[in-house]
Amino acid sequence: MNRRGMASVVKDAIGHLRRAKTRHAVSFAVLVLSFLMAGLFLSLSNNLRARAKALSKDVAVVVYFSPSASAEEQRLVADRVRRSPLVASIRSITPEDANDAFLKEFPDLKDVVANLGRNPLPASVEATLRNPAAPETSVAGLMNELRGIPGVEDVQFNRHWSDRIRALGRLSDAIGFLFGGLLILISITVVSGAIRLNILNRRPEIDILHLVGASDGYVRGPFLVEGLLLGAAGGGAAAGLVSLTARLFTIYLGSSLGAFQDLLGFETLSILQAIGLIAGGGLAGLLGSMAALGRVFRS
Amino acid sequence: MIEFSHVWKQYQKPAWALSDISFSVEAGEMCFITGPSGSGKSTVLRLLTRECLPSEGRILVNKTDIRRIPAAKVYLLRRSMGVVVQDFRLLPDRRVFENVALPLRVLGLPAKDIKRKVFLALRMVGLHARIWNTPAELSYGEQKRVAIARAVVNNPRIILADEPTGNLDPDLAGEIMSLFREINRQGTTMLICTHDREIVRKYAGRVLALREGRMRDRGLGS
Repeated sequence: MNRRGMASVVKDAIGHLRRAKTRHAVSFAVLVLSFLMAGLFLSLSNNLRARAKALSKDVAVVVYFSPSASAEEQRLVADRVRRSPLVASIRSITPEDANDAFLKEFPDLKDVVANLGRNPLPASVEATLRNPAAPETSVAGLMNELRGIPGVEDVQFNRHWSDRIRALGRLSDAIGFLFGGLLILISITVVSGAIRLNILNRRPEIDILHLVGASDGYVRGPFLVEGLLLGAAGGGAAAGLVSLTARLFTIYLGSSLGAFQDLLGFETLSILQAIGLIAGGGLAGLLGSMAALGRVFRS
Repeated sequence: MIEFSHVWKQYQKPAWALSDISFSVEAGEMCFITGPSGSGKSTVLRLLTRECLPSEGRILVNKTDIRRIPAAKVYLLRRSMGVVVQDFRLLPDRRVFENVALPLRVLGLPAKDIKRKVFLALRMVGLHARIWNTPAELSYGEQKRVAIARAVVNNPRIILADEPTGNLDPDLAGEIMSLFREINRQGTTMLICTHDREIVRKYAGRVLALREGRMRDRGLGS
């Protein structure tokens, strides 16, 4: 098809959309809802992935001391950690340093800590690994050895957290694909129904077009483009709404979530993801049109 | 130009819509198919536009066996014909210009050429002053002339007309037939289905009479 033909097909498709506004408004709303659902989960997962990435930058083995641990015991532990070939550097954290860092991170909990009447946070040694991606089994030996030294209360490897948050991100992706996918299937059916009604409504025109020598492609083209445009517009609107939600969520709801703010936040979609939503919408619309054309022309 | 050779057509058993029909129409000829309602006139036209296929027999249009044309290429056959259907089939929400331009848009002609050709076709049927009206704003006879303009606008080699004078008063019917004769004089092959024997008698042309799907008579109008 030449450029003139393509322009004519697009013009016809826009004409179809204009002539059946109500029918297409319903399809558009269902498309937006479906892709908004998928987009929101994607945005949630983006946020979780970003948090996991930030955490994984500070992968460390942290040794917490019991309150009764003497300064000598703490020094021995620190020496043992420093000697390990797995460790790049260590940092000793006093209970006061830990308290300051906690209050800086969670200012809302200042009163809770004050009401306790004492600093609940223990002294600790934080060991940064030479290889942050080292397998957990290689770190396990060191952790077990440290657990057996007097004065040590607990030993934690904070990569568990980044792994858990990554898993949450994957779960969010899966839920998004499942619910979003189901809604997208429904939206394909709704678009197909709307376009089918449009085709039946325009049956006399289609008959005339066939009579005057229009090819099947010429007749079908505008309906396919109609579905494509409708779907892409729905996907685009959904991408816009996801970005809006990501911004408004932080302003209006983010602070009320307190400590969970980091995990339950929405991250703006990347350009590629936004294009993906628009293309997905277009594809859903196109599939809806193809289904409608197939059914009508078969009958 | 058109050749029917022992053509049979059955839509539903046991009745035959056409039974062993054979005739030919030469290029530039004006030919009438007459017969009462249900005699098979419209079936002949539907076979020629390949809206359906013959049950038996062969139909040649411009030396091409239409049965051998693949379904996806039927549009090429239809582009060589102009068809005037009984109920006009004009698009009520489009202006006269857009209705007549339809076959040209299908061909993908440039807008300038479309405008020129539509104007010429409408001038030929005497409706160039009504180019921006909608079909609803036209009289019955004018609507019929718009349908004729649409059939001739891309200069087809064959024009098929189904009851072009049906429901028209004698004066208007005469006007339409004069128009057809004029188009035929320019070399276009015409095949006109009508049950109006008066029209057939008045306008010179070959007559093929059908009755109950069988060829009854072949002759010439006056």
